[in-house]
Amino acid sequence: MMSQASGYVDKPDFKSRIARIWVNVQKNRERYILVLPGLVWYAIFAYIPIYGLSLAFKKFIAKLGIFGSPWIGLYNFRNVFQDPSFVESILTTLIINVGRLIFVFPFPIFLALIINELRLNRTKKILQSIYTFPHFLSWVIVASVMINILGQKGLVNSFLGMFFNIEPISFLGTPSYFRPLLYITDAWKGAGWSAIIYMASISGIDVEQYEAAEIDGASRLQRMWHITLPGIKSTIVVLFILAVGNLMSGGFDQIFNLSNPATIKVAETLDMYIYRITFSGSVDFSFSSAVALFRSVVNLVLLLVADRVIRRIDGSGLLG
Amino acid sequence: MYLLVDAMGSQKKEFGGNNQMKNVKRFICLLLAAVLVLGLVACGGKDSSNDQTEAPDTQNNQATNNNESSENESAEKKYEEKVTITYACPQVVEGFDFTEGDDYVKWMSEKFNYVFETTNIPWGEWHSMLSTWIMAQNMPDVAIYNYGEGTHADAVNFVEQGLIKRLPDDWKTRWPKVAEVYGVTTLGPMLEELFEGTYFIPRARFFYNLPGDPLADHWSLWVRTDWIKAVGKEVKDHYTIPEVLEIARLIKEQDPDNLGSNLIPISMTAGNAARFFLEANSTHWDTFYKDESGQYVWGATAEQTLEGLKLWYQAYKEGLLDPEFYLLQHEQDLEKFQTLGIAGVSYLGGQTADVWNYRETFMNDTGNDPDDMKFATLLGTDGNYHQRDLINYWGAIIFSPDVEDKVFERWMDVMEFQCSEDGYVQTAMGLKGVDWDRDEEGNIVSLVDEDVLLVGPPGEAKYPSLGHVVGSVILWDDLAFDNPNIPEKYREESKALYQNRYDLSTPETFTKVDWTVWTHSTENMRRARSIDYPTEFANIVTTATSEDHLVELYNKWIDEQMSIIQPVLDELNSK
Amino acid sequence: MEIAKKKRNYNRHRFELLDAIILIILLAFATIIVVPFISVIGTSFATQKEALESTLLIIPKNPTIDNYYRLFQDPRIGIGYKTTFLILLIGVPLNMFLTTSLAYGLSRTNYPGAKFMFYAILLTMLFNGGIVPLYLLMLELGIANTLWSVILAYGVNTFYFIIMRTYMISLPEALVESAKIDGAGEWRILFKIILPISKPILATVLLFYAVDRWNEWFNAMIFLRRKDLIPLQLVLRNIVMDSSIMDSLSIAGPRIPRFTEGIQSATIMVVMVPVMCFFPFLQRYFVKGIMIGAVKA
Repeated sequence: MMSQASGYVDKPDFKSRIARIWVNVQKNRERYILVLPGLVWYAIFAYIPIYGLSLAFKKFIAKLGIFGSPWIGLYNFRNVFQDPSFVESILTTLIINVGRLIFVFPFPIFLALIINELRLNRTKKILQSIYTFPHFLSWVIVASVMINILGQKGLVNSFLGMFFNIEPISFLGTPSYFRPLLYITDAWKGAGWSAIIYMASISGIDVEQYEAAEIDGASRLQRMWHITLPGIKSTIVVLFILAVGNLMSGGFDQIFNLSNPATIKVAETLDMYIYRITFSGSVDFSFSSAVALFRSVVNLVLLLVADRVIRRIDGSGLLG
Repeated sequence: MYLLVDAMGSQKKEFGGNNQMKNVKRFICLLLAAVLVLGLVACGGKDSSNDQTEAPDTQNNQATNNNESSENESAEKKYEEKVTITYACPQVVEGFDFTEGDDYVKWMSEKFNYVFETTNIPWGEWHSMLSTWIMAQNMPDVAIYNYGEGTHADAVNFVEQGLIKRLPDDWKTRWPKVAEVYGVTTLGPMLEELFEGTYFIPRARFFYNLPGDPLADHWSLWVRTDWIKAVGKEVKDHYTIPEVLEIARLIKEQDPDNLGSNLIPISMTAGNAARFFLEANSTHWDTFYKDESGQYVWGATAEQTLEGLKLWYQAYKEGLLDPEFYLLQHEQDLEKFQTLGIAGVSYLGGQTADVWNYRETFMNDTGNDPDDMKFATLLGTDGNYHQRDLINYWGAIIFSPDVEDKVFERWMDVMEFQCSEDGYVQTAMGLKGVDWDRDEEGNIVSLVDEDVLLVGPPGEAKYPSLGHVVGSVILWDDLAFDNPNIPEKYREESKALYQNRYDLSTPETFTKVDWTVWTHSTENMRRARSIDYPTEFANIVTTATSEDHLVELYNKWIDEQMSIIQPVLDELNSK
Repeated sequence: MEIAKKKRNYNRHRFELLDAIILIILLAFATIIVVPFISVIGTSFATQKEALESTLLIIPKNPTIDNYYRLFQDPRIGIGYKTTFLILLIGVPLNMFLTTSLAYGLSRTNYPGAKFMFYAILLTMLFNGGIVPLYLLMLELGIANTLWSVILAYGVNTFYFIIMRTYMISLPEALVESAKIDGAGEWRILFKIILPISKPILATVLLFYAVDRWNEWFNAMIFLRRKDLIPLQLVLRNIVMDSSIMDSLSIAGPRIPRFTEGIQSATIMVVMVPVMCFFPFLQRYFVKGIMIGAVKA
């Protein structure tokens, strides 16, 4: 009230703002207590170790610890960027992960939607359980199963040879098949597990909406599109933004196990590059911190951009 | 307001019937799981009940020490104070008590009066985990460090920052036997000179039976002698690469065992193929070396490397190699030869200790005669054997900088004993007088039945502790030459193999280590070392569509790597 | 009551083409999951020779429980189960408590500092100092070689926190408002109102945490150096690794043939079966209409 008047802005306004904030704090006293345990945990076990990332700018001397090690500026980053393989690996990572967003991300949603439509309750439960099985397989196992199925002496090639007289195709050794292979196996392995989140979200949709729509004459497909899907929209949006915030990471186990010397050129992501660099020798904490920091910063930028863009389009982003 | 909750409750009752069935099912499941777990904990705990490290009375020391070997020792030291020694290495069997878990460790811990607390390090994490502990200044008293060319930079780091113990300057006079073994590793003295002090005690592969210097590797050709004879070729103990390919061609044509499409003339992983075609032909294929003009050059650019690559491509195109060799992992190539019997040639480990074991598995799994397989030396196209010194070591013993003197000295005493002749044999064969003894000529004779398993997992073997854990400084490669449990003719075969590697090579093809390159650890070198040569070359072989294309890809690859390689060459040449 | 009856009538009535298509798709997907899985089960009961000879092993001709035997007669397995159960029993309730209180507390960010706290938490998902600083911290706190280090190292999974929070946001404001008018405090609201209608998401997050704890091994490997505290996954990993390393340790006797894939398959079964038993417990919470009563009142 007073603030909008001519020139008397600063002092009285400042004081009253503090006063207002204090009142607000008092009013929400219980909320602060509610979040206290979690925040304490984050402060100690998440934030303190983050200080370790400062090693990216330091030369790690074990006896001086992280705090005491000397600063050397951007030296570590120079080393990192000088390797041409590093830049290539970033591109490869982006290409693979953007493809993942497009092809793999929608699949669990689709799965949750159609499972939801199934009316045979017991079958539904059994199927739900079955779909989570592959989550428990390590990629090592999945890779060896893939070899059995897609190898030149495997099932698929035997089938093609027998019925269509096609020469064996090297599914696993052809670079251009590598990304589709990644996406298909990723969906196969992870969709059932990720679908659980969507199914929980669907459980929270008001059933009355369905009945009302039915009375209004909406078909099942229409109900799915206009009620179920929007009902879980906030979940989808959040998971999507988080996926964008993971664009520079992830997938190491899968790629490590599914790639081989024949396909290595299209498969070297940032994680694979780091593995190659560090596996052969020195444990250089400064170097790995530099790479980790670089990756985190890129992910952060992508996440914030995605959040902003979606908020523009849709009205609500991560914050809700 | 709280009607909400009631509404929820009533909803639950509606489906009551179903719930009951489900509850019963779930209860059974839970019960099963609980029973399973209880059962496991009960019987699984059998061996680990020895976990309680109780201090045996010093009185018992003399009473239980019924072992005759102690009489043979000159210095019978009595240890008054019991010390606790902490130790970590990948060979530690998780959950096994290395102080009293079997008779051997009991004997050792009583003789030397110590409590041995061991920690396992998973193989895949050997270097990274131990390094983490060292850097955090929280390492055990003793550990085995995976020292190698690639980890040398870290070793330098540890020494510079005082993160591992510097042995006292008089250690060689106090523990002369250990010093002797240390001397033949060649690595130990080199590091000592470099660091101006001893920080690492490399464990020697050979001491009593050292084949020679530089040390020949045990990697060998595996061949099916019955197939070689069937195609009319000679069975020898050495073949050049082209000779092997010729044999493979004939095997492919004639298919002696009628395996059809299952036949794999040459079974190899990408890594072993790189060894077969490149390493065996071009000694320096993946490193730097001084050429005739005294300048450092990159081995990948050597003529013989390209030559080997072409042969690799040829073999791949002709179908002599497993068409999906690049998919093979771990020991899958070994399995095809040894378990399935569908391979004619392979290139695998051939340690003396295993020459009988491999044949036995081969015999049992394929039903063939053990002499249907043989080991041979692989020569390059120039008729010479190519190799870089294997260096007589595997793993290095290091101590914590904070280790107590009495702990350090006690463990050094243990290692001193393990270097003695009897102590050494015990590390592999059990207690003298109980499991083995010497005859009049000094040869080792076994005192146990053939079917008694001496070494193996807890619960199956008599001495699960036998390995290199209890202070070994000499490893088992040595003993294999004298081991009565391995048929003599195979031991002789192995000795001959080692010998012909010296006979069929020149100092240029079978070289000693260039320590300058080995210890060069700048940033550029680290980057250069990150090149995965077998994978890169395998990629070229599988991508090429013709031999000309192969050469093109090869040259392109060389050019691409130059930005990483050239700085290193400059550094090396300016030294 | 009546609505529920009406719904049942509808269910019984129409089995449309759409249902058939859906069923086919779902069954097809289930098949391509189950078949490779049966292969894993089959391998766990097979001998090495047979596994190598068959392209896709479904039911072994010479079944053997050798792989399981090798797994279970290893004394470390008992330690593995014990350790992991401890981690689960203490860890999961801690996880749930921290996550739920945070998720609810930050579900409405209309009070000072709330937005800041939310973003601060989000940031930890992107920035991670790695295992070394965490290890040093544990050493500093003096809990490095105890189970607490492993339990506390994984307190809240930010991703699960966000999911739970998103769900709680979608709950009708009216509920909370009317409870406040009735004079209920935040904790009461949380326990009496929010939690009962959040069962689907609670079940989900509980499952995720439980499985994460069940599978946990990496932190324990670095932090713990005691023979009597080894999580199950680490034990299994070690057993599989041991069987795949070509070590020449057996010069004084017969070499024990090691069938890595078989043991690995047995390992998978050992890990999976308890979880699969646990899963149905939670499935009943994925029931639609959890909010019927809520909105009506």
